[in-house]
Amino acid sequence: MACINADGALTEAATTLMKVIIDHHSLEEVASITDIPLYLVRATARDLIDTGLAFEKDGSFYLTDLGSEKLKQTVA
Amino acid sequence: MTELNGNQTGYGLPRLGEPAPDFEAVTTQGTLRLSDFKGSWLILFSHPADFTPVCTTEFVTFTEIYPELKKRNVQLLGLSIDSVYSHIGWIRNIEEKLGVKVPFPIIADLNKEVATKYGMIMPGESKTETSRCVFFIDPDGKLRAMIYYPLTTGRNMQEILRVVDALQTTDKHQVATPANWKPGDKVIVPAPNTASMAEQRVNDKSLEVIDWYLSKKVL
Repeated sequence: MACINADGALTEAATTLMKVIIDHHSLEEVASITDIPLYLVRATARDLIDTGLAFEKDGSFYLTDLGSEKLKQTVA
Repeated sequence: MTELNGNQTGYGLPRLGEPAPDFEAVTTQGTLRLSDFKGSWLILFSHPADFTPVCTTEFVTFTEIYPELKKRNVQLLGLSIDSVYSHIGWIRNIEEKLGVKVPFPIIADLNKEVATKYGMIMPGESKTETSRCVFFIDPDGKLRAMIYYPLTTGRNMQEILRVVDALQTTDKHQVATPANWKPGDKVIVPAPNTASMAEQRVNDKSLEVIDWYLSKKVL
């Protein structure tokens, strides 16, 4: 589940996850809140980290400044 | 030909009770790793090819049992030696023609990397297609059961559910399950391994003791 579409916009799944990650949840909590299978949450979170949109610290996930900006653009 | 376990070459098979071979693979739901499934059971299964009749009936029936598998904390992951575009076209075709939306990811194993690690290719049957293999991987990533079917024989989904139930029952209650066991049936208590335990066993009124080595109980 890539987090960025070919046109550079966030995918729907990435947007859903980022809206929850913004509250600094663990991936297990994100899966529970979004009802997205944990394996997909993990894969998408990995994509978000690889693309510089999120980072992990002490088991919780946070959006980077770039991620926050991208999310704002998407939901605006 | 791929080296397996450091000392095997060829189309080797993984072994029960050992860690399932690790992988990172392109799927219809993006790039997934075996470790993404940690914490849940995983049924990794292969099919010979997209847009083929028996496989299509299997995908419909795998989708039918998917809700039951989810209740048991089991995820499904398909695989064949086809491109992700072929997979996407096929599952869209299944939805269009049969009204069934396939909810689980499918590995596009064009380089046969995962298929070779798991011994899914049976050269005597086909060198270019995977046979109908089913691997039951537990939440710790250990391979717990394998079933292999030939190209011509579609799988029995009730047997797949039954194996999941049996494995989970064994883990939960430290028991074994007899032939043709299904949930609700009596289970087998591990046989005693000393003479004194055998003596105790034949006098155990809490069990159905057929003999010291064969005892059953209701869960």
